[in-house]
Amino acid sequence: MRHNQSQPAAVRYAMPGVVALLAILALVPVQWLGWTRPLATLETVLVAPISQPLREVAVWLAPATRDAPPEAIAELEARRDELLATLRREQAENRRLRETIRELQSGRAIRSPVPVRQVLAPVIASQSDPSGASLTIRAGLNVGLTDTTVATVRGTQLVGRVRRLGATTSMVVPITSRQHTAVQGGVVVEPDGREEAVLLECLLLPVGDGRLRGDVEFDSATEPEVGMEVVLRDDLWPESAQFLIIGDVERVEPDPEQPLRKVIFVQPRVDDLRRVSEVVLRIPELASGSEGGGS
Amino acid sequence: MNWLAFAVVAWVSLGLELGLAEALRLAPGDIGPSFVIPLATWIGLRASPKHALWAALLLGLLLDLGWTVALRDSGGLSNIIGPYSIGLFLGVNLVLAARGYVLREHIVALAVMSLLCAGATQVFVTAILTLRNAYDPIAWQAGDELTARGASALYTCLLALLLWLPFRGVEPLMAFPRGPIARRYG
Repeated sequence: MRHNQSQPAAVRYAMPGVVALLAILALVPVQWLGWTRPLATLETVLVAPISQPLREVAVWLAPATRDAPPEAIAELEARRDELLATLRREQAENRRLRETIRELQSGRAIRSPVPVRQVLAPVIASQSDPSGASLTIRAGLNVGLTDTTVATVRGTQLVGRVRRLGATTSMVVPITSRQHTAVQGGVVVEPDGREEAVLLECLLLPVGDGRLRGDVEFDSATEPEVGMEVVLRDDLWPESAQFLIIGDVERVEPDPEQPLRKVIFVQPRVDDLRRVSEVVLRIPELASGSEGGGS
Repeated sequence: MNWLAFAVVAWVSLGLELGLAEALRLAPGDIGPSFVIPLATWIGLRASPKHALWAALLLGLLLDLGWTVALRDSGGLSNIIGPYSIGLFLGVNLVLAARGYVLREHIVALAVMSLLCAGATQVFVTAILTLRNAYDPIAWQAGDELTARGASALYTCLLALLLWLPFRGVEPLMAFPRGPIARRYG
């Protein structure tokens, strides 16, 4: 005790002071914690020489997709999915243009399709916390990322939207993590004898086990079935992300409360989106403000 | 305690934690182990109380910075400083209180104390985030979190069994005090 009193006050009160400061910070509202971002980025960069090689080895040992097809087939499938997404985007654009022509008299401007640049970025770290949702990628403002950039696998399977843009790193929250908000999707139904596919709208929420779950309204001609593709159709997301694949319908259940609706479970084409080793970033070539997609 | 050796071991532990988090996660759930909490526990078992508590605060701060919480409305992310720092500080306090009753160098002591430390830390983190949920727009469900974090604490306990040997290997570099040491504050 006497020994403690002989210490300078700064030393004696340093630990209680730090603990008190941390206790206050633990309760400070998040809008006042923006200053922590550079510190978190610095930590990620400092730890990357260890975390990235380890992550690559781990992903090699336990890949994100089990029973993955051979590389050549996977490439062809990705190309097919990309072309399908482009086709659907063009069909939607056609519909929109037809509507726009009708509305031209009211003076509305025509939005042109957004050209997209694709950049490959390695995932360098995950989160230390069990519920930590985001992946840290080695790409940031240095490669021209904007807040309308979305991360994908092979350019077709949606992973999530890019958040917390830093100079050289950014974060992506996978759509399947429990912390992700709902996404609006469309179940692609291709009825016989019709030229265009029909989209059944659904609001999908992450289940927490790598899948998404949502209600679908349907009629007798267009019913959701297992194996059908589900694509993104969400106005809160950038135009360049529309029609990217969310996954395939894995299970369909009747909705006990609403007989005209069914509950679907959607499984992304990558078994676990949090285990991907790299992502393909789709960066709209226009300025971020002109592409829409709120939040 | 040799703080330079501590910095290197902390750096490697955090690298392991961030690099192997997804690989070791019981996929596709949210149950994953921690490499940093067994390190704090090990220091809590071997170092002087003052050094152990400072180490806990520093390691907790690293964990706080290595974790982002999703925001409900904007879909953004935010770091929250404090929950892990204070949680690990409390956890190591428990280790300091209990270390006089265990064989500090034994592998089981590290595992059991890691469970105690991880459990206390995770309960504190859950409590703070649940409290924040009342006024902050964070995506947080206390029930799910507590279950996942309880299971993660058990997983951390198992991992501590594997970490005992590497910890013993670097022990000479850490320059821990020899002989009987105080259980709590000196």
